[in-house]
Amino acid sequence: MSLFSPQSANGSVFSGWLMPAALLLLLATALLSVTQGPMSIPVSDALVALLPFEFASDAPAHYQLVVTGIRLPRTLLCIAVGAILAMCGAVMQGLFRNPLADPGIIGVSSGSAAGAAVAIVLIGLIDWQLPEFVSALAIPLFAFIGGFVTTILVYRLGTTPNGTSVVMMLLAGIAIGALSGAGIGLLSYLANDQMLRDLSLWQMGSLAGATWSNIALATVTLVILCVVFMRKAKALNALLLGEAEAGHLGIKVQQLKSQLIFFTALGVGIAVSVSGLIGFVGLVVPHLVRMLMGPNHQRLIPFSALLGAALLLLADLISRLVISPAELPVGIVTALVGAPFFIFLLLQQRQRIA
Amino acid sequence: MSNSNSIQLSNIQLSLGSKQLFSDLSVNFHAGQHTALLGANGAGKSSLLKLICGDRKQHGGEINILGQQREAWDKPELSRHLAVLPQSSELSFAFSVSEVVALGLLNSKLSYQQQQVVVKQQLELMDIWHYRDTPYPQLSGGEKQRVHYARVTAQLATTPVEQQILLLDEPTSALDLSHQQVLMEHASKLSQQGATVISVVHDLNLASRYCQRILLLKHGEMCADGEPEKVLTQANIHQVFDYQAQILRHPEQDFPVII
Repeated sequence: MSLFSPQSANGSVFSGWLMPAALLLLLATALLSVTQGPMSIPVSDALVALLPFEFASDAPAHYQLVVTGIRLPRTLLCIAVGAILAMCGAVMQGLFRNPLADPGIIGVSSGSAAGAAVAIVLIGLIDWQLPEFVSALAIPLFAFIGGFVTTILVYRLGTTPNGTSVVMMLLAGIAIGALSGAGIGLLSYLANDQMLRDLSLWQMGSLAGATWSNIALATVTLVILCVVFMRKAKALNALLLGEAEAGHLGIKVQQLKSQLIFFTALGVGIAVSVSGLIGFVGLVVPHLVRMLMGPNHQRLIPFSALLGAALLLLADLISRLVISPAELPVGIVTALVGAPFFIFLLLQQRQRIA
Repeated sequence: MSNSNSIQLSNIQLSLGSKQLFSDLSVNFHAGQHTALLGANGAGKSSLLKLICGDRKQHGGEINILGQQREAWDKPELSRHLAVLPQSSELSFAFSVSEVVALGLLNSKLSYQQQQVVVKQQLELMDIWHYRDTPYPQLSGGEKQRVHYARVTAQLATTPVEQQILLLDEPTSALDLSHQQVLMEHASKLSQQGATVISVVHDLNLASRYCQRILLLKHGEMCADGEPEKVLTQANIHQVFDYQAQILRHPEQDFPVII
């Protein structure tokens, strides 16, 4: 049962105090992310460092470098990736009409990771003298292709003339996830030490590699996804009734499903390519939002984006602080929180079936 | 529309797997009439509804809805004319009851306030207004069925009644005695106002009482078609259901009662 019914007199999902509260939460976590780390920086000095012009201040000069050179890119990437992963999770759960569906579960994430692994090992093995921007773009591109091919394959396997079978699609996702895992394992035998380190870092997920090109890629993707998913929010609500019922309500169901699959694959592929495998954000965040304000996608999608960004910022902060000055891959932090949550959800479903 | 035939099925062929269900079925449904589809399991009742609403595609023949080929209809446009009450729904997400009913107005051009008025009307009609904020999964099976009936009637609410088509697939199977009457009475009232209503029912007495026309199906063939008095005879019922029925008259209202 939802704790709040933030439906106001005019029916807008953005009125009321919840949206400002969520924005404030995001702002606060972003500020924490910029100021906290192995070296703590006072908020005022951090804000001064963020100003686009010179400002007379007696703060140490290296604050500027730490804030704008290291922490700001990382924070921005974190926001984009967290929002993308949470939104894609919310949409996939609607698509499958199952709150357990998650980009990781239908194999899109592992497909992307396999693509990335191919790129890492190929570039290392062949040792072409490639221009730097080509090799920098190769990994995102291969990750996207891997995720996209996986999604199409899962979709084909799960689709029958009478519509899409959710069970078949989930099973196909499991099979392809296993295949991707085997592929990455195989590649790791071809890899040298440096590649192995890259691969394992990739598989655990990290936001340490934030570059401005990655940020731009993720931000553009985020904007596209926001527009597409918000336009499909009402149709997604109808889809929760079942495919036949959604069709009776005038939804072009096959077309809707194809679009949603394409754009979730895009989102997950890009997210994996810029930050590796960060699991469970797409599972935990939409679930929390549904508990707070119900399953209506017109609310679920924007609030998942905001909360996903805030939670990934917190997870990233924890990953930087617990063994400071070294850091944990953020994927370990999200898995430590998300996997028990997943088990808790499984237990709930089991009780419901029993 | 040239005549009162709101739905025309001509020379329909349909196979389910290797089994041919309809070989050459032609039947019309009329505006202002509540028609019951009766028959044993597997007779083709639900398949007929699925053909009309487009869930199944015929392998031959033509289906016209309100004077236009079904395939030629714009889907959102058709959804304002034709609504389907499913036997059951797989909805498991915790929408509130009024949110579920409002889903019926997805393609309407009503403002939010106008939608809320329609939702309230339909909920009061089905006697579930007091559940408006209750999460749908917490309702009983019969209450859920009433929520969906409110949803599909809301879906048609903005269309002139003569152009409304309501398909009900076993609408009363989960309902208690009094709500069976409430629902069937409402459906019949809609048909008297001019809507086309087609119900798949298993309760012969509900069909006899509330429907003006009964179609008796057996193995994809039409065995009988007409008013309840003419169709619900001992011979017909024996032929279709292999059951020796007794036919009485209702003591107060004039319709056959089958025991």
